[in-house]
Amino acid sequence: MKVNVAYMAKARKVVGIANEIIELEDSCLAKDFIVNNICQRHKELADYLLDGESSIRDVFAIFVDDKKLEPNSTMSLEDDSEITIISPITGG
Amino acid sequence: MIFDNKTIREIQFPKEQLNNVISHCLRKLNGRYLVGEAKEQQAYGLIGGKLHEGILSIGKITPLNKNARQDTGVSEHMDVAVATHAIPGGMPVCHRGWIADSEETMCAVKKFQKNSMEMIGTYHMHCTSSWHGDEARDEPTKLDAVLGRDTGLIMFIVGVIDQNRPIIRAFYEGILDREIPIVEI
Repeated sequence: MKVNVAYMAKARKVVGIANEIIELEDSCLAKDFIVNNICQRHKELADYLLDGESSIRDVFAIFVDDKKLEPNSTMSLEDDSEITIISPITGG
Repeated sequence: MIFDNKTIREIQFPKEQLNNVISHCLRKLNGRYLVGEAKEQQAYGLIGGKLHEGILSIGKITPLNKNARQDTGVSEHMDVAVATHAIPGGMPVCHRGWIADSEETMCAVKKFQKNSMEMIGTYHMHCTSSWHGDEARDEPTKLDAVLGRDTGLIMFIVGVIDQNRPIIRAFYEGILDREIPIVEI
């Protein structure tokens, strides 16, 4: 199955690409995919995205299709799921 | 699309969209709030556009209603940034600045994508009451540069001292010497 990942704002700049398609053999939990796949591919993003216990920091917003991924979510990925990772957007 | 100020020669901003940005800022400045909108003299929005051969064309602007300043994990970081870098003003630290609500942001991003655009930047207003002091209202502050750092986004500053002559300028990542010229079309 294929998952489309889009990076926004600082997440995009850190990773250096706007989006990518990642192939998976099986479905998995979205939060596990972020920690075990995305953060392994992009170590520099992991520094921002994960805390010391490898949990996703709540400063980032992650959406699976149009649904926000909450900290204790059990949302699973499906073929053609779209993940959007948005770093904080702020102004003074 | 990944870009910086060297990739872009100019920003083409349609008059209609420019007017939408300015009227949003003036409406908030004058306390004419919409139902469900943050009732504060701060205006913040997202900007969608397309880049082609060095010309960034603005296609759509989305004023944001909700300031997530108090209710996200970013708040504490924002408090520190404001306390450390903001020019002193009348508003308490915990209320200064804007954090885009993630759901509103996602909604705007989807609309941009539906129209073959991408989120290329943000805009916000600087007015006389934004802080105490004579610093220019049409330029990014030190706080803006801190908040814009490494976002890869263009920060549009709407300076409103004279309501009849608002000024809008664009700075890559809120950095003063990385200004990109705006051409009204």
